[in-house]
Amino acid sequence: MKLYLLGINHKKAEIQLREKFALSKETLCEALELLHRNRFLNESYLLSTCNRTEIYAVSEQPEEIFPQLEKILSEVSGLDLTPYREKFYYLRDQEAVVHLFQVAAGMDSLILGEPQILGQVKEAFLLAGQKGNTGVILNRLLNMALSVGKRVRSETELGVGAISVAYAAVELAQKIFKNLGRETALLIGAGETGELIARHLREKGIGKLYITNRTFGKAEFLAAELEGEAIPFENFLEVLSEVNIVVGAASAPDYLITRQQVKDIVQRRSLNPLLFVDIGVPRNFDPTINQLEAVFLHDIDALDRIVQRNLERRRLELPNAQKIVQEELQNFLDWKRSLEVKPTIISLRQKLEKIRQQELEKNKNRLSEEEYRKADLITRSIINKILHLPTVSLRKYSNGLPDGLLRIDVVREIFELEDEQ
Amino acid sequence: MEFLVSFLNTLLPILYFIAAYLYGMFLFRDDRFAERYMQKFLRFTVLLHLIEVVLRGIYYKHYPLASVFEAMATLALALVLIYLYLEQRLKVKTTGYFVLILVFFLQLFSSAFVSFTREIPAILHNPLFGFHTTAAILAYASLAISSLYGIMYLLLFYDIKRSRFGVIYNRLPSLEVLSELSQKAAGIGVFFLTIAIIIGFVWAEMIFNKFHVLDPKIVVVYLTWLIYLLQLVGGRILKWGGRRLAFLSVGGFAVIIFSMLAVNFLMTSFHVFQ
Repeated sequence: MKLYLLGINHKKAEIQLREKFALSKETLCEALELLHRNRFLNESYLLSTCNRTEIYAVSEQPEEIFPQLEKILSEVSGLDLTPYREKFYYLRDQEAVVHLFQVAAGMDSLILGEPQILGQVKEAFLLAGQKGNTGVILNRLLNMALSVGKRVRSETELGVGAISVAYAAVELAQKIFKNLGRETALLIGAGETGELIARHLREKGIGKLYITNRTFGKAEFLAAELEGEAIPFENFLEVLSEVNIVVGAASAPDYLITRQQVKDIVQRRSLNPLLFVDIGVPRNFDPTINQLEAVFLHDIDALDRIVQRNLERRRLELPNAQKIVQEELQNFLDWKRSLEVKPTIISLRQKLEKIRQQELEKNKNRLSEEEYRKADLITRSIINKILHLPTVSLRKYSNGLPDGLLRIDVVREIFELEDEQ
Repeated sequence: MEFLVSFLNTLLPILYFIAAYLYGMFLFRDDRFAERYMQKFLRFTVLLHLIEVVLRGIYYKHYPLASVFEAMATLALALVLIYLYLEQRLKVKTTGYFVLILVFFLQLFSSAFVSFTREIPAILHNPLFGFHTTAAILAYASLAISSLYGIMYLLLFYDIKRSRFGVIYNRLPSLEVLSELSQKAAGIGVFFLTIAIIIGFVWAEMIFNKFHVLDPKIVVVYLTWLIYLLQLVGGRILKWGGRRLAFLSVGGFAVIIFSMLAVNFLMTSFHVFQ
């Protein structure tokens, strides 16, 4: 029984092609249904995100499997994938396992180490489970993939540090202030990046959030959504003395805040730190305000430097993440090997023989030599008789009968055969 | 027992070096092994250090402060104890490396040059000497830690100001936390220094006929006390900025160093280490 993977991702195909094979919730269910009904497939799993569409399948018929997967994907996406074959990857066994582990760990993501993919892998696993597509092998593999994802996140720095300008701005604020819940922020300009910074600040529990925008309605709308307070654009200077974080994301030909304005405020604030984040182009704040005591000013270039540094840090963590992938690959292969019938029967026999020997040894002193010899013969015969039926059944189920692997797995589990190889 | 004291005395700098190395690995490389074991290892080292101090006290029959080098080891122990208290209190583990580097060098010099003797001036057997010097050592250890956090504050402050986002930016806690740590350590330091000064006065009145309140060493202590008191008042009442407080803390430490070196070795004072 082997594992196969047919997939397309951001590394091999452009968005124009990827989006054609990206599946909506409905088509995903339809695809799972087709995979489930296909007689060449024993198990299947489908992952479809904006950056990848991948079908994992377990089958015993290697020559049939990829054409079947291609057929199903073409059918549900409504586009024949034959002309685009070179944009797809066709992986088997170990390669497919490693790929899935890397995907779950965020190592194969467009933004290295991004955390959303782990949730997407899990969600797709639940759906495939509900539809009855996964079985012994994929259940084990996907559980291990989720565990790899968690290990990589907790044991390496692959997911550490901001990798977007918006998040870098919030991290910067956290390097100055201990608890954002006690601080007040002002967002000037409710554009896309400004809005994202405001959302991150809200997620981090910012105490109070003022939002201002030239179009007041837009500020009001965002303020309502983020539990902030909208203020008219002409009045934002009035709240400047009570805020600690000012985000400039407006489009303006001149500086919206000058050095003199900040100087006046700083004198009234008893040198409490004041952070200005300027993502406007042209810049919203006079750059010389950074020279004032207790004032920190960072523009888009500084934030981008944080992002680039963090991405570099993440890239340096790849070998450590790869080590975890290799460890778990080995665990999976060991487990999969254990599902073969012959080693299971041998392990089971060894286990029972060990118990028999221990019990004989315990009673050795109470028995004469003759009695001991008889006990040895009788127990050996009992063990052989006990083992006869499960041995026959295991051999029978290994010949492709339904649930064969599941039964072998259950036998291994109830007799605790993990270490008996 | 002499062998055990001597063995522990040799072992301690090695253990502090390993502890500093583990904290360094955690700070610079975010090493998981170091993170898991560094605190346990440091606590074990402190326990051995405490045992060494007690055994030494029992065997040589005096407080562990009879010479400059003995005082260095006790200062190292006090630094670690106060650091561990702050680490536990504020749950900040990335700053330990800076403290432990100082501790390692203090213990190294102490272990290399100390010579234990039972023959010390009778004055040092007075219980008030024990209280006075213990309070002074705890005070200096706290103030040293306060200034170390002050230095860390200034490093991070200028890194953020100049948009330098290296290891200091990535690994140190926020400026507010560093300032809080520096303030807390200064608070503990001022408390113990006040006690040391009061006991010192009482003790000096008892044993010296002509006790000079303007002795150079004492004046330096007044100055240290005033600087750190100013830091506390500035931080808590006048709401000064963290940078100014950090400079005060570092300045106060410079005064302590001056007190330890210049006054002991260059000036004449009634108050000297033997």
